[in-house]
Amino acid sequence: METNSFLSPNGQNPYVAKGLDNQEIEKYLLLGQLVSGITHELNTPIGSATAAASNLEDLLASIQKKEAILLKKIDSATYSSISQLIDVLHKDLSLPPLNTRQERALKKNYIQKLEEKFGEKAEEIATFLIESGFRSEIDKIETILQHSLAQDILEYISLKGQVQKNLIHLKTAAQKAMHLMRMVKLYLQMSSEATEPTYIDLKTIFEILLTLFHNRIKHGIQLETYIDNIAEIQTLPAILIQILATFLEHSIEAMRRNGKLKIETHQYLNVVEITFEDSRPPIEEHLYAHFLEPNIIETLYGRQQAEKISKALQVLPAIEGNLSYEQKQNTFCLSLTLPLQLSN
Amino acid sequence: MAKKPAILCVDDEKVVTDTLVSQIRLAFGNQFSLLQAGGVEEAFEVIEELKEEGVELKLIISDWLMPPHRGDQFLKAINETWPEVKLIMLSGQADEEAIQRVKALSSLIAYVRKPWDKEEIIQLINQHVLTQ
Repeated sequence: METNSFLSPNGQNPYVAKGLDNQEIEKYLLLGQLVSGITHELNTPIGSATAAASNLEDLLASIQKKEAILLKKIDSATYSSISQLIDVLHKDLSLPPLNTRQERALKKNYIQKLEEKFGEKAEEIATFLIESGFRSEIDKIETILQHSLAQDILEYISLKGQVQKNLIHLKTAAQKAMHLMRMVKLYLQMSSEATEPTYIDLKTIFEILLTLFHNRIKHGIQLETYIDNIAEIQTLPAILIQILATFLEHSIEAMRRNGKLKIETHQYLNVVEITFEDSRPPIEEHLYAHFLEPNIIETLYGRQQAEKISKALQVLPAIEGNLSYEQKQNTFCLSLTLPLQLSN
Repeated sequence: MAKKPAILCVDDEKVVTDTLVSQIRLAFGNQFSLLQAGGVEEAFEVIEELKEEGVELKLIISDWLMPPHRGDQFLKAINETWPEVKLIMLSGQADEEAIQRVKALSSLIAYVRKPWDKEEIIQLINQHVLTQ
């Protein structure tokens, strides 16, 4: 089904007070919501960076103490074995990190291999190794495990490994925070500066939107995306990003923030189709027939959604977009088609 | 030899569980067996394994939001099945309703906001886990 008839014959819409003039206000309203989401998103990297920095202080102090004890007691051959083991550890820690399941499986594997020789100590040794980030074959540390100072050496190596792990956490946290900031900056650039027809990449637009909406999506939306490699399209980015943000938010709200959402983009000759297919509750037939009319949207999803969709539909002609919708067996699909190039 | 009591850290962000383990290890040495789970299902698997091995689970520190589950539902289930296990809910974004639901659980010892203060976690363990 397709409709462009949401405007009343006299061009007035009770849901849109000043039409395009409201774009600026709308942009900042949306930004406010996004900033709130981003603030939550930043909690994790900031928390991990703070925790990692604080851990490093404690770890370095413990390493110094342990080093002082060990250096008095070990010979040069043992020192060399420890250095080799630290090199192995550094290589292991440069690999993509294991998840908690993989770590537990590896720990069990180490315990099995160690039990014969070390009995009840096997679990403790395996714990040291796993917490340090070690994941190589156990025979690489055979000499050290036989040493009379094995416990101290393992503790020392575990501390060294944890220092590196915390440094990795710090770096990852900084990268995540930087990525979030970059997306906010790009969003602001696209929303404020690019009001002239500009060539843009849809992948970038979706990267921005899905990053900014990540917090709301992860609260209960199972998201699938199929963003085709589409040629850059000529459009008004400020308007397009507002419209896509509106439809994305609409899908989330229509599912009451819980359900499945599939976003797809496809290119057909000189047009691009963007679809939002969600698992919102079925719409009754008499409402479905007039779905995009503001009073129907308000009945189904509330006044705020009605206002947002109305505004999006009102500016849609500026990017020569066309919106259609279809109710399938278990899903509802909003499809936006855009030309690859604006005609004017 | 009796097995060490366990503390389980549950969060879908590995950096969070890694950090908690590191902080608890530095503060308490080898007094506890420290375990991690990346989600609710995995946490139940770990708990079952601990029970089979005869290890006493003393404390669970869990995030609130771990899609597709919510930590408060997980903690409620633990509270019902294993009321002796102490619980800490950790979150940066739990809503007020969820906090109130969790606060009503008898085994909850604290709701801690992210980013957390490690001294708070250490103090809670000292006060509620070590003294038990």
